[in-house]
Amino acid sequence: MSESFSTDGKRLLIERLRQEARASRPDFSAALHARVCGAVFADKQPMLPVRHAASAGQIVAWFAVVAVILAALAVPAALWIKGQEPNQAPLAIGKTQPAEPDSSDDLASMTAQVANAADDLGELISSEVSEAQWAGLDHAAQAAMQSLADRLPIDLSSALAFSETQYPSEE
Amino acid sequence: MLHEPTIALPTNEELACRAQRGCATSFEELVRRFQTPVLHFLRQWNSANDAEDVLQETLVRAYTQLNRYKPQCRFSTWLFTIARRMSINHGRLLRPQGGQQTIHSLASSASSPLEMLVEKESRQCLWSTASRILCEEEQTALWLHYVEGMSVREIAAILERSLVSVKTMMFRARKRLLPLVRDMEPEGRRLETVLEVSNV
Repeated sequence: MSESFSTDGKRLLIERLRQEARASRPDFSAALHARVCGAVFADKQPMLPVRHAASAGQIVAWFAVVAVILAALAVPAALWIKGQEPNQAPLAIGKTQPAEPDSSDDLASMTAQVANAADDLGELISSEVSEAQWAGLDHAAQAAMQSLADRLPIDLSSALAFSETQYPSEE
Repeated sequence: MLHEPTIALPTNEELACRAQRGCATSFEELVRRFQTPVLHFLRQWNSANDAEDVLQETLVRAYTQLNRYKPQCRFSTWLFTIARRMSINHGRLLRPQGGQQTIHSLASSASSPLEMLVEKESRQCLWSTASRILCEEEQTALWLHYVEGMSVREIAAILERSLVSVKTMMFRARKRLLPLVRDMEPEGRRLETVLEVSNV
């Protein structure tokens, strides 16, 4: 019996609370609305939504992945560059000139180039980030990407061409 | 039979997202929708003029801090959270804890017949009485649940409490108010009887 009484009492209480709230609900005031809107839009601009910026670690990891992909693409290009001059006459070299690096040396050189480029990019990103506190992240990322795209193939090709011309194999 | 196409009104959350992108009209519509309920909520602890001031400050704060609103949450929850904090900042929610005041102390507070009459009329308003015997969190929880129709989870977010804490809070608040409701009934059950039953 006490259970049903409690349920009835609760229902009565809730109904009473709602009824009184409805009775005391103020009407919509156009004057108050105008006043509030005037205060809200008076020289106040909403702040832009927070963009979820990636962490520095994520940025560096992302560029490392890009560097690896570009390195993978650069390997066939390097082989292609070597293949363009198979019959080119080697330059006269002295006996003291070092021997032409073999393919494993080429790969090591390219890896070192990629690693250096990644380090340079990391430094570039760090400097941009520290200066603008992530504000110019998009610009920095674009600049870094452009630098990477412009730089890697040229460096690799020039390095390989240099090794071809300066360090030909001894016959 | 032709059916006229119904135009679905944008939800509060959609309006908030538009306002985040700089649409002032959307925020004005949000002001139109929430002006009255927030004002009604604030009037529990503020005079009419003060409640309007707090309402204005609340909506200004909401507009300038729109970047902090996350669309996956209900806009009403976010706005009432700001309103409550703004009211607390005004120092108008702070008052003695309701648990310190008993029903009997309420009944015995009047000394003169005129005071007894005023108190009797005041006690006829349940929310007015609730504001005297409940703490701010309990009253806020009851208001948001039964008047604004918010879920316990939303109330917990506004009060920054756990779900269990809010449920317990509401249970205690109802338990305190239940005897008063019986006492306010026209046919009038005896308060002592209600107290005895509710204690079982």
